[in-house]
Amino acid sequence: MPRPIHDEYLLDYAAGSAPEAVSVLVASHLELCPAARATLARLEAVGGALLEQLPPAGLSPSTIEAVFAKLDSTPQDIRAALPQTHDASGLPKALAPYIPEGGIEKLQWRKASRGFEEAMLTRQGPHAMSLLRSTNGGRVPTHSHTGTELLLVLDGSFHDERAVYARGDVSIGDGDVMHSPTVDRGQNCLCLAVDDGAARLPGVTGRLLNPFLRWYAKAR
Amino acid sequence: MDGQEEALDIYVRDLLAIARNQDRAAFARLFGHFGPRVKSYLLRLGADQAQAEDLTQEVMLTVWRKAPSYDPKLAGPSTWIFAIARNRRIDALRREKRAQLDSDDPALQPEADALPDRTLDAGRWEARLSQALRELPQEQAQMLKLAYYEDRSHGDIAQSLRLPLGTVKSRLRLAIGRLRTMFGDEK
Repeated sequence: MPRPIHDEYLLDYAAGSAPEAVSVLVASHLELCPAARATLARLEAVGGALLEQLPPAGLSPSTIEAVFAKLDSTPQDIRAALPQTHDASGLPKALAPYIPEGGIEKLQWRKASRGFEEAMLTRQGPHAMSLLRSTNGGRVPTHSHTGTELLLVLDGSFHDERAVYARGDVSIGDGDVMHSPTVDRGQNCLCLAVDDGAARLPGVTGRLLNPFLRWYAKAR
Repeated sequence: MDGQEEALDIYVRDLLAIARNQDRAAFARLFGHFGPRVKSYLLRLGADQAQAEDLTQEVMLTVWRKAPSYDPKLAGPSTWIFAIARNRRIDALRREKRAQLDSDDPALQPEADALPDRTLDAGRWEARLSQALRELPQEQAQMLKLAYYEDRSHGDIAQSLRLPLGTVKSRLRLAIGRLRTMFGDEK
């Protein structure tokens, strides 16, 4: 069973204040981690209870009329909630909008650190979301972080000085964390990575070197 | 059962009646209670009057449209409507940037698990949670309200209250910890 991400990430997700890239990572984690889903249900209930305590704000009569006028032309969804199923790729559904038809092989993969490749999915504000993979083992030299990097394991596993991370687990790397993520020889690992850009360099060279530098930043 | 629990049970029944019979009287009652609170929520998150009215309209129509997928075992009415309002607002914010998926699409929702105490239905459970929130120490309750209503990072909250970030985080953790005890979760 995956370990749930820290409550503060689930709180931001429940409150709707997580940046898009972070919320996609948390939503993907939620699909893979029942314990995180249970906590989310409680935190959304907190949101519901707080809604209940808000002083009502008067609505204009025209809004009320408009809603009732539209009911007849608003058919109800008869579809009940679908059971969560993953497609053949095994990728979380929350990621689907960012993956091209044909799957992750159609993405532009670039060499990153030793034994790793990275494919950028999206950038939003300071946040970058990418996929990182190692198909035959690899090791990132010991490093710390200038910003915060979240790594959600989607397939395979990696380990560092702190723990083993398997499908559904999230590694949180910040300035307090010194580690060298390792995928054992012959093993594979696919991660969703979100970072807040603190160590990002602009330009093509930066993009090529970035995962490497990001990992090296502060590692001296 | 106290008055508030009873009141929330009414909205569970209303949602089920909307789903079963497109019951407009039930919808009117639900609207009367939640519409103004949803608007209040949106105003607090920075919407202006016109945006708040428009989004409230969308939220309440979504409630009507999705009532058939409401399951009282998974969420109380306030929780369910809160989540719809939150998602509609996020969609509105992102609309300009990119074509966005319907974040209420069940296929994109993390599968919900039933609430911890299955002997209580969700409406009643929600009322108990409201009570627990009122009993939180004031500074913890304040942190939670800021986190849910101000759409600000924990860092921003710390700055505006002139508190160290660590204090904000530890108050939020304490608040969540207290609520967890109330939820009956193991430590």
